[in-house]
Amino acid sequence: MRPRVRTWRSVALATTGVLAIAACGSSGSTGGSASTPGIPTGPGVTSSKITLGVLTDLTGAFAALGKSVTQGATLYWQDQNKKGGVCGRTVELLTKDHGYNVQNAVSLYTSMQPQVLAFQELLGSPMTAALLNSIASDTVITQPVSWSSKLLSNPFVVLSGTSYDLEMIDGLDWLMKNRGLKTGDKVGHIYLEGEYGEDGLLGTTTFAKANGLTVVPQKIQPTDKDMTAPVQAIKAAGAKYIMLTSTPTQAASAVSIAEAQGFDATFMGNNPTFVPTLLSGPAKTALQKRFYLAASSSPFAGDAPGAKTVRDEYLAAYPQETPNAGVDFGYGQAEIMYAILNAACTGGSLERLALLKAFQKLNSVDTQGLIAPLDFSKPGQPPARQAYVLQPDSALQGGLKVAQPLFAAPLAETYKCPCL
Amino acid sequence: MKDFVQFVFNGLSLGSIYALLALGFVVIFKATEVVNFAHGSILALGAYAISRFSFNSHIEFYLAVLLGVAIAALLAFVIERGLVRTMAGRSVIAVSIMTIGVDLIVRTETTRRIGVDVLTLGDPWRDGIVHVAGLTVPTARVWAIVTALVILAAFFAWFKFSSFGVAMRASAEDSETASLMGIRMGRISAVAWVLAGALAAVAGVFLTAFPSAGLDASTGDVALRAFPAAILGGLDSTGGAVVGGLIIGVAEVLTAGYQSDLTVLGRGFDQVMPYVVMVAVLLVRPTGLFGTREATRV
Amino acid sequence: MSEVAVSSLESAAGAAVAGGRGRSGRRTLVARVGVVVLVALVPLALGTIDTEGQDFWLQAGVFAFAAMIAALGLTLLVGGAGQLSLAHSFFVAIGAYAYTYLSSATRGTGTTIASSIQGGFGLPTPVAMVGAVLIAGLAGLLFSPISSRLRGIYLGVASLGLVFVGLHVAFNAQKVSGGFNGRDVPDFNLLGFAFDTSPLSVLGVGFTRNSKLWYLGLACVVLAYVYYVNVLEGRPGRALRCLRDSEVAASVLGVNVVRYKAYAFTLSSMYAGLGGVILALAYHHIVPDTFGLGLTVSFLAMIVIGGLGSPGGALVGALFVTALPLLLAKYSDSLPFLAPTGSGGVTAAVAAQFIYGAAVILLLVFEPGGVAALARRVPRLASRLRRSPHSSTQKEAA
Repeated sequence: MRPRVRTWRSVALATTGVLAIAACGSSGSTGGSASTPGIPTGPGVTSSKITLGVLTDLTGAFAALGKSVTQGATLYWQDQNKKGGVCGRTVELLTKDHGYNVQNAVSLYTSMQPQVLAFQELLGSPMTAALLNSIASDTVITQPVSWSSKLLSNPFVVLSGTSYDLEMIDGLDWLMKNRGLKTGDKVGHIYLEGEYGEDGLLGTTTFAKANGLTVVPQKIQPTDKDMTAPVQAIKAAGAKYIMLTSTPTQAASAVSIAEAQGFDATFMGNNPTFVPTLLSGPAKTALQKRFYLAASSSPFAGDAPGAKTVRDEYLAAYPQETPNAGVDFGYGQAEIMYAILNAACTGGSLERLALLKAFQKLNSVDTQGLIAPLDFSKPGQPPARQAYVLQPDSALQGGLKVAQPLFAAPLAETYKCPCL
Repeated sequence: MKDFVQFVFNGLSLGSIYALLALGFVVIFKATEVVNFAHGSILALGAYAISRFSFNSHIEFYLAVLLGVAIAALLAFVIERGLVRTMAGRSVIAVSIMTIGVDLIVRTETTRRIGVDVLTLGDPWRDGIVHVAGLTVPTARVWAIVTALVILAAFFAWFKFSSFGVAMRASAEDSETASLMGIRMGRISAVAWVLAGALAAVAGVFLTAFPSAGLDASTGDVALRAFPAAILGGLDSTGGAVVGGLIIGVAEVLTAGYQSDLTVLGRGFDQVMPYVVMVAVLLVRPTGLFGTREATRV
Repeated sequence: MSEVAVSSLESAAGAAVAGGRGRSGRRTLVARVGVVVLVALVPLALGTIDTEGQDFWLQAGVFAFAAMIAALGLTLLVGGAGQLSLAHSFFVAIGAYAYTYLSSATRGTGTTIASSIQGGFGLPTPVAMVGAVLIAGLAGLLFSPISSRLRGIYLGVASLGLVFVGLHVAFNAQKVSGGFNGRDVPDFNLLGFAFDTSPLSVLGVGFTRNSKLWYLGLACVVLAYVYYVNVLEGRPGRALRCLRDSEVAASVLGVNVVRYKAYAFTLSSMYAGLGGVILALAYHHIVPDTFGLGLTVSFLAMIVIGGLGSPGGALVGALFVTALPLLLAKYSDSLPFLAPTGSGGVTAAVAAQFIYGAAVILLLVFEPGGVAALARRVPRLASRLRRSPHSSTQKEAA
């Protein structure tokens, strides 16, 4: 049925043009439900509509990220709804703001859960940790805004890319092959307290053990702004390569301190350690010279067709705003959600457990280069192992250029996540 | 050893920023006995205004700072006149909690305006470095220390010698008697808030300058780290605020710098260290290093 | 020593509330029982009105009950004894984690890997609950050398240090707390009756986990309230009030200042501990981030907004601070004239924060007695309208 829908859609595309597609969108939905009569459905699904939840931070500490990711998902579904939605139904997002407060998140989850088929977005590591059990007992497929391998223990969690530990393994491997890191060296790692930082550090220690490196870990707090002390400590320990699992401002602080002090260090950050506006500040030179980013999703200015689509749509929809990788991520997550819903529909059910079954059969989700190819068919293991190595470049929109296209380190290929 | 000296110097420069913030807590407390929970959001708003003036309006940095400081001071003035004053005679705890409401509103609005950006204030020091006796020190931090020293010295002189300073000290000593002596308490309170607002914005300049990367939505949270500094020195002692700020700054940087040797305490202990130092001091001197001892007469 | 005081008070509990009061006292008692009965009926009513959304309301209710119990403890300490504490979320965390640790299965017996790392004592849950309350009290008692030495804001900020120490420990002591990711909270089980997700139907009405917890929470609130009133009306209450007004006068009158300060801190921590247990049950899985600065400040906001030192105020304040942000977040979409979500303008989420902040400010500026006074004013106004034709009855009532 899936190819049939596809063909039907492409025929429609080819023959009738944009205006006609809009019309087809509405007739398509009735056609869709006609083609799937009496298909069993879960919460939040009617004959013409699927409601997905977005539980995010729009006013608290991570409001900026929450906004971008939500914008990305909204763009995708607007686009997809025009093309006929999924399973003959249009998709609607039910968005609530928890303001980065655990209690609000838990309560709002309880209120949203009976109204939605799945969660398109769940932002905030503490909130996700608090809700993991409920997600499992409510059997609701959920996409967290996190790449932590710790989340893989829950089968209902959809990790949308390479996990933080693997990003670090790929990044270190690249540093060894291209930037002179060698066995016996010391590697500093500045990491945030909590799941994000610890997952990044796990990658570094795993790689270090396999390759004879010594790790100099430096733990920091989210409210730390000045990275002088950790950089100083790493310098004193004799390390010249520093891994970063921090906030973007902390990463920029660390890199520019090294530059200013004449400390010839090379930095490699996890994907959330960079935002393009850093390049309009004093850290610009230092970042372009010393900083690399390991990420499994394409940069905003990437060449992949998927990245180009997002770029065009975003600039058209939000001309006033600074583009940011969160948008691509949200868009990519929505594409994965589409793949899940579509596969479940093909399987003949839009119930929650049918979604899980369909999800665990997806062995190659193609987001047209937006995110590394994803294989969800091995529950408990990261869905992707490849990463881009990116480098800041103020000339490009989104501020990043590709230093190394998607690749996976040999260790990343064989790495078994100890996360179950 | 060289590391140690470097850490201490970093701590002192961070501490001088804490001192500016702690002094803000102290002057407000002296004048009104209110703990201002909105201090952090005033700081963030001031820094945001400076950034906007110097980038969007292309105003000279120092002028932008003056304007931003004025805006922060104005916000503090509005809070004092509009809200704190209308609650005169009420429990100071109630007034303090009221400032949480103010903080929520100002913070939400500043966060919304900053959005995904990391704003820089356009300071002329950029990522400059000064080498002093083998130490490398960010230029911005040198200026932080100099500015803090100048502001604090000017403040003390003004506090000690001007008639206004005398009035302020008198009101802090015994507000009832002071008002009977003809001191206008309302004005004292307003000036204290305006001062604190201005100090917060100045601290904001140095908190966002190198080696920090700029202003983001969580910059204001740093203000709370000056809390133990103000208490440690003695909440009613302006000199105490300075000493407290420096001690807390040094303690924090040393704990962070030597965390590999302090793993017994668990990594990331630098957030807790200020409080440990503070409680240790309070156990010996219950009203801080320089706070007025409470004498009870019967 | 304070344990002795507590147990001696316990025996006196109950009697003093009902007895020794006039007609108006009996009338308020009837009103209070009425409120409790009404609150007890809520889950049943919700089950018939809004079956799909009822769990949200029930869960919000359980959160509010937990906050009420803890807020009673804080208002006893701040309003009753005049000791400012910013450590309340620390003691709530102690209660929550102690309950979880005491009642969890011993290490290695669980099925998941997490349970093989995290230890436990495997005690029956009611024992764990009592144990958690006692441990929280003990923590308060251990802090009393500091709390009895410091006063006012100095005590407040010193106690704030406990919150940061607590968070640091919770992040690092993985075996007890589960670290950043937290750990599961075992379901409460009272003599074979499990407060869990298993379906329960009584007389055709279904009960979910949250509606069972609703009754547990309500029962604890009633208990905590009755006990509070007894403490305040008895000898320790008088001693504490005396302490609040003047330490010197209190010591002259023979009140052992140090001991009563420790007593107040211990008792308040035990309230926090019980609140923590209910909170943990409501969460079902606790993470350290819950018990940070935000929670401690919101407890202070509860008792101030409710009206400092009044137990009823603490209850109303807890309800206000817990429920209002939730309701605003849930219903802010319905507000008119707002920018769409995702845009840079004033969106519904931002407006919700503005409204909550403004509500806190306006309430504190214009209603010195807090929400409790605001609530009292409405029936007073109504009764004044009712009574105005017969001024004689008004006199009689006075």
